Amino acid sequence: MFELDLNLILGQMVLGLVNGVFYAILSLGLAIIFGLLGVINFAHGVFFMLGAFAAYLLAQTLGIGYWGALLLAPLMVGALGLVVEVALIRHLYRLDHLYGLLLTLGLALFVEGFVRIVFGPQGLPYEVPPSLRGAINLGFMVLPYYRAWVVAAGIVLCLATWFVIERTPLGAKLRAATDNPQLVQAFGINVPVMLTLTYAAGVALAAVGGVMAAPIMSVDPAMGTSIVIVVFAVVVIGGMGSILGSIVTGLCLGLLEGLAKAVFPQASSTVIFVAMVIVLVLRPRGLFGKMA
Amino acid sequence: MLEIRGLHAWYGDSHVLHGLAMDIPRGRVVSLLGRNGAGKSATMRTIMGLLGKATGEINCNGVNLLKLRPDQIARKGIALCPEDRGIFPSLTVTENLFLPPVVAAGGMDIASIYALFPNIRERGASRGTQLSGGEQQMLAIARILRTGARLLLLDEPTEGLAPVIVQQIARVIREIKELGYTVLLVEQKAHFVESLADIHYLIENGTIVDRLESAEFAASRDRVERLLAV
Repeated sequence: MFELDLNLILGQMVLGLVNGVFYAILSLGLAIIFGLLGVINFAHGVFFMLGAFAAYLLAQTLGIGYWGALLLAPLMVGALGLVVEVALIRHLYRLDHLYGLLLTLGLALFVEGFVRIVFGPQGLPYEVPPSLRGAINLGFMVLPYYRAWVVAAGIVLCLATWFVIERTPLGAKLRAATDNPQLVQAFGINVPVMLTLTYAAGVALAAVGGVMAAPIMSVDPAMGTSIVIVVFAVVVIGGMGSILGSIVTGLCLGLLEGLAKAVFPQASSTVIFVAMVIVLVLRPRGLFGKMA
Repeated sequence: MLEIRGLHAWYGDSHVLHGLAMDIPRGRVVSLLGRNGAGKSATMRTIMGLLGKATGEINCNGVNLLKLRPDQIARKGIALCPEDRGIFPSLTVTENLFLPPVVAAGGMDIASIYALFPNIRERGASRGTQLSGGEQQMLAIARILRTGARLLLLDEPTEGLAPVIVQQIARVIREIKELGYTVLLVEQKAHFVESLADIHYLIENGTIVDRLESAEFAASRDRVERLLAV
């Protein structure tokens, strides 16, 4: 009996890790954008959704498969992010954070509604790429190769992003501009362009997540909104603006959610928010947030 | 190198520079002396394009800097060492040193910089803000020597530092001068700039009240001290 439960727990935790990877990828992008632009990007989920739809459209219209979409969809969504930053978001930097939040929330509602009108509210199918079909028996569960790939690729993507930001000259520019944008610009770096590219890169990262999610989640207009609510809880728990914090928190909360599914399924959809409340009470700046 | 004429500038609603005029000739060290709030830092920040609103003219090789963005001004070969030193806390010492991009050929090479500031090499892996105040000041000067900028704006480089460090900084400024750099040195301490600067400007209430050649400075020392006294 205990043996069976342990298998269930392990299996659910592995599946939870798959979700955790998506939480990590999305909260990472949010943390980067908030750190540099000071914008709480409520449209992040929509860019995730658009990544999945871009993959769907590339397959339907041009016959481009998963691997091509993994490259092209983020470029397309990143280009859209570029336009959004230049046309809308950059006019808000001098204002309170609240305005950025309102703008991106409105943008999210608008885009989601638009996609719903064009494609309908129902989920669209997206196939697992042929090279990743099948499953491996881990003893305690049968794990589809595709999900194993999502976990591995997602973690590598997060760590690569962390490495670029924390260990390269490009990342040093980004961190310096987060500390003191005026001085960075006074050294001859074009900070406005940097902000645009950062926003584009952040939403492109969300689109990578969207493409990776397309074969597992249903490709529908609301897929971004449903995940981004959890992701905001992740960001609050991890601490706004911490890169490593958002990765670790995303993965851990996926695991926690999986554990709850096995042990007390009724609580699985609320456990993250309970964790958020506890963290907010004990450490208002989040687990990895800098204490003022 | 720089000709400033009729410069007015505002911090938000408060009018801080009132028709300021001064010249910074190439290869000279020019001091700008005045009390707190006289407009010294505002002058620096306006040259660098960092003050919100400014009118008048800052002529650099025929270009009015007031029409340019801060990054474009930096590309003209002008670099700022800010009053708060501006060391980035999220960056290591080495990252701080290499952050400012090279804006022109002829910057100091890294070996010479390490020779001039040995501590910076030893503490390279530390966070920039873990350095002592004096070391942070050295780092703030070192990182703009690398860029090839020929006009250095040093905003109160000796503020809050021990006398032995102040001497080191004076030595560095002398070396910089011998290498042909142009320096605008903002200070409150007359004795520090006396032997360093070729030309002294006295600033009060956002306007230049006097200009002294270094030969005249000693004779006018009483007047300078009165101006600087609180």
